[in-house]
Amino acid sequence: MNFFRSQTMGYYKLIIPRESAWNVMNELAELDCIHFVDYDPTLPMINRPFANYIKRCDDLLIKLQLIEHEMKKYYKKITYCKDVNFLIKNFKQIIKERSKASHTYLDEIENDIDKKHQQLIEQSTNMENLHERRNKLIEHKSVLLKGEALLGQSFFQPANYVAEGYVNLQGKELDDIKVLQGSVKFNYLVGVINKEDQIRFKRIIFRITKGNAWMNTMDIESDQIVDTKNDDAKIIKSVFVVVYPGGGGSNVITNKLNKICESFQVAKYTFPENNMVFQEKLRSIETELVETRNLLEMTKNQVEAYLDDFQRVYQNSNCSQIEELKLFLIKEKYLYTQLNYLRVQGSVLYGSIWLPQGADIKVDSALREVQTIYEGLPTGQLQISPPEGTKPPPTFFETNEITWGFQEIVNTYGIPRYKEINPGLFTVMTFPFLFGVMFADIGHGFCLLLLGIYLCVYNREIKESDSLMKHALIVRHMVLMMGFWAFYNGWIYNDFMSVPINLFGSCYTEEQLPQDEQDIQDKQDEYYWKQKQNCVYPFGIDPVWMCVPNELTFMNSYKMKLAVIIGVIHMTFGIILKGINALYFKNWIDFIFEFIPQLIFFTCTFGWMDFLIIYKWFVDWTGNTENAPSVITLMINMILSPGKPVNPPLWGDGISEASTQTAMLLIALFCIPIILLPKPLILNSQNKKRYALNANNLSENLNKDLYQKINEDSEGTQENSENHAASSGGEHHEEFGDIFVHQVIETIEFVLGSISNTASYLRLWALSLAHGQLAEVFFQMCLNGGISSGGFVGAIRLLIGYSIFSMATFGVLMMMDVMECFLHALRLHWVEFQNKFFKADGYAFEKCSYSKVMQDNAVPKEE
Amino acid sequence: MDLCVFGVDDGYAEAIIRGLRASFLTEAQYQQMKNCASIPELKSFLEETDYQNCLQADNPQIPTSILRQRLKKKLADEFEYIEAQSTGTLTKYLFHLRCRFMIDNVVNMIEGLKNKIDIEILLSNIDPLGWFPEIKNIKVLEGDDYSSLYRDVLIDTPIGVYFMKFLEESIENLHENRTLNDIQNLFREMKPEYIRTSLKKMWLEDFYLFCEQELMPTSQEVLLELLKFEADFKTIQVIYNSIGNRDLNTAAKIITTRKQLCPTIGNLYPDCEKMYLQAMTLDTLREAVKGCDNYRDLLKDAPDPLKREEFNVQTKTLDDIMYDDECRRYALAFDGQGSYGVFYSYLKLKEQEIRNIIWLAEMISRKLAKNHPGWKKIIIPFSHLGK
Repeated sequence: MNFFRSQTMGYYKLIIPRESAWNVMNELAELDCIHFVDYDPTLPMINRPFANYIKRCDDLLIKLQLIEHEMKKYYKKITYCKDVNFLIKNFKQIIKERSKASHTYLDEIENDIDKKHQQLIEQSTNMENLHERRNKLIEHKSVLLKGEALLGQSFFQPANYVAEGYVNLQGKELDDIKVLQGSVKFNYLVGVINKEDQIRFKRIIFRITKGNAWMNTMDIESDQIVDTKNDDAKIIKSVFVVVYPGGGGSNVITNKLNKICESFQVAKYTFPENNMVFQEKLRSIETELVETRNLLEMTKNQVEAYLDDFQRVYQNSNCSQIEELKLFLIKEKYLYTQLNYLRVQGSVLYGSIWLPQGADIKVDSALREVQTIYEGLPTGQLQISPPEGTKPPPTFFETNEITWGFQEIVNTYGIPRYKEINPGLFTVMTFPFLFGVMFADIGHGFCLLLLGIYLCVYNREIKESDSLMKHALIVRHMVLMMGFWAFYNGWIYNDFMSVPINLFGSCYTEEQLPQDEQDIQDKQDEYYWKQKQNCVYPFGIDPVWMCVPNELTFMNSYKMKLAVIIGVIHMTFGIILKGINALYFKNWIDFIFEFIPQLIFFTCTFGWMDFLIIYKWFVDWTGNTENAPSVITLMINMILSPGKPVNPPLWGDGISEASTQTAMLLIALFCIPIILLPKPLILNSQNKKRYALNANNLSENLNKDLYQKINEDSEGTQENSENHAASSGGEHHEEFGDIFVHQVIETIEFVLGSISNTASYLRLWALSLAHGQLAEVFFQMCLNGGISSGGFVGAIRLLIGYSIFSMATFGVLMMMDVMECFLHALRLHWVEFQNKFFKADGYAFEKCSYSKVMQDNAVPKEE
Repeated sequence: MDLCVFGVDDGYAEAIIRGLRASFLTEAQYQQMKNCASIPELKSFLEETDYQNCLQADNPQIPTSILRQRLKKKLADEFEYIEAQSTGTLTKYLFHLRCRFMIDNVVNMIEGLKNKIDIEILLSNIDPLGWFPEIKNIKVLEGDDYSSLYRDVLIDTPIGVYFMKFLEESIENLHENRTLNDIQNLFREMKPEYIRTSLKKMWLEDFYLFCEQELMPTSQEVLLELLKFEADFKTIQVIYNSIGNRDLNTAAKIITTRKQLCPTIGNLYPDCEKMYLQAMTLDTLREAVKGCDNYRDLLKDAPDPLKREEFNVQTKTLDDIMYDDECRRYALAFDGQGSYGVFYSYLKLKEQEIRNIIWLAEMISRKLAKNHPGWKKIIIPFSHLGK
């Protein structure tokens, strides 16, 4: 019965000595069955005793992340952990084999990671420096080469070299300057600048020198300079040459230019003054470059060696070292988070926990085991205790792979109240069925069914592959069942992608109209369908309905009626569940004044409608169709003109029908005040009584107080004042107005809701109609033409038509419509079904579990 | 009408900023911050709030200046993100908002260079909201040669316009037959604070004009109201600070300076201009502004500027009073729908929040007693709305 009502919970006190807190908690967390109650949820985590440990774990995790990032940069493949339980056992083994206190293993790992992280950082800074040096060298080299190209070879010719150290430029490309030759002396500035700053730099140079400068730039080949700070992205730099007129060594413009260069953070280089120095420089740079390259290679190898350590899968492990460390830290962090829920008093930790029935034995034995494993350590104690505070026990259902998905559907709406009937149980069956009613189609249903079968059969294979289907695995049973019911209901409606299947042979034969009638009728209706004697189509709808002009009217009326019948049954079931809940909680007021009148009200109105529908089906109206009453009119007349003889009657002369209807209506109307009035009145009087009782107690206590004071009994006073607090704190005096308004709302909701909810179930018909019509449109538009024209042209048309048909069927029907039907089924459960009984104000049982938290973190993050 | 089409271009940006509303610290969180005993504790507290990511990499004993820088960086990042999501008028508008910070940065740089502070320190202290690439190049400033600074660097920056106008105005104010020497003298005597106030005045007027001309009616309604208030606030501040100022020794000088620095927009201009320009004591200032809004009430509690020497941490200065009133207005504007006021208010309120955090950090690092009145000197955004 674990899934019908949530598991019985027990409230326990846990007392753990501080020195063995880690060990005890470690054992308990492996049990997967304890819900720790936070002793003060308002207290921020940083103010708790073990916050320091959590912080340490966080820091280490960040460091590991950095290492992982580095590993990705070097394309190291990490083996991820597939089975965390194996790892948990492994950790336990490691800790057992150590001689020191168990919780110090964290310290050891911390040291280890810190050291390795430090080394890695050192190596990377080394690497960065080397890169920087290499960049510098490349820049210098480019300055030389490009500078030469920009200034021209003639720059070195001694004739143009001026002894004072200023250069008189004469390049073939510098015609303007050529004019000035001999009369003005030039300064030159060579350097490297980021490409993106280049234009601004040019402008500022122009403005500072008032246009009296010549500047040219040339890009350095883009793939050479590496930006180490930004993940080795490539940056583009360019060499620039500025030539400007100038006099002495420290004139204003030179100063300003230097400042500008500094502010742009450009690298300035001196350009060699003659060819010999130039060649010399170039050569030395080349050799240095080779050196740096070798050094870089070496450092890189070293870094890789470090990273290999992290990548390796060690013995007794099933994942890379880095993953193992990560999971260990996550486990450790989780442990301390749980410990933080306990209150510290002196050297003892006090905690309150919820345990499912029967788990206390497990906890007890685990606590005893601590003593045997770690000798000499005191162990914790478990004590049963009455629950503190006003919070009810958590709700816990043991789910399996099949029920998990459906329970999730319920939980998304709200966690069931503790011990309330779990709608999840019924959802397992009704959800796929209602989906099937809407998605009813043999073909499409079968596709879905196939998918479900595939997922179930190849479960294991898919789980281990990298297939995208992996994500659909957890709902495979749901898909299977949804597919099955869609398939089944498709047979009921006899609809195979808008084509009916004539499996058993139709019960109608096409016959010519008798001659005399033919004259009156239109020429087209020469034929009519005649039912064979005593023939009933064995299963589903006779395919002949597809061929008659009133197909849609017939199918709509049929589907609509089915939808209403299913809806009323579903909702009645919901109301009955409410009764069962009231019985279980021994809430007699709810049972007598809510459940019973509600049930009667509902059966007398919509139950009656269902009866009419089914009764009408049993009557053979052949040849008498104009006398068949419409159920809708019957229902409307029942309310608008009660007591009048029904015409046309469903049975008899209509008078007995009318009197039954009047009786039904009266009973239903009578139920409304019963739902509305007694409950608030009773509740109010109960409240009053309780209040009076409390007031009595209070005055008695006061009397006692006085008495005690006279007797000078100091021991009793404390207890007594506590009593006061309890009685005054427990005064939860609800106003009568509040209760009444609440009940009014509830009544209106039920009465109006029963109408609107019934109408809501018509979506079972509407979606099935939409589905059917879409399928028909696709079939008619894409395939029908090709099939009917035949021949070669028909084949070509079919070829094109089919591709469109298959796409549309897949995209619109198999994807969108599945989604739509799913959502509507969801809504029918959440609103129409669950509002009849479901309180949904519980909170989930959160078991303290290593394997869960580790499993969540064991999968690689997708990017 | 403009409410119907507001969402077409600016809906997304507005939605983002509405989402960011949740990142403001609540009163309860301020209470917890006040209870922090040390800077590392404050930092770890902030790490549990929206400021988590911007502080993580830092050392727990974080200096206040770096803390401020980090917080501002976060604000700047958010703002940049919104800017990237904006189009058309909104982009221009947001850029205008940035200009205020650019002015601050430029003046701070100039001030720093004048005081011979290292450029690296200056660069690390600039407000990321007002960053622009040329800011590094302010280094070329030599002495007090603002005009060449303008000519060489600031000319094609966004604030170049204001700077040019400022230079023109200050030169025009000199007597007719001015010499180069006069101009140099003028610049030498000019205080960076004066430059800042005048630039900001120009910016404010320009921004006002922009709002008036380019924005849709709803945005205009909200923003012009806010800007008028801000202009009045500036005016009052200028007058208030010039009362009893030793540098301005003659009455005529006071009035001309005031005239230059007071914005020519707002509720007080031009009706009360004559009166406030002449106000030489706090009482006459109160009298001058009494015609407008609740300014008189604001000034009621302001301490007398003539007793400036007696001020200490506990004094609720004019600025504090103004911030308080500002905060209320911005919070109201933030909650208004379909206007650009929300962006403006967001910046202002976040600035206030950062000011609060920094103030608390200062209080904590100085280890002041918990009953010290300074602890109460924070203004919590949105706290006015609840009342």
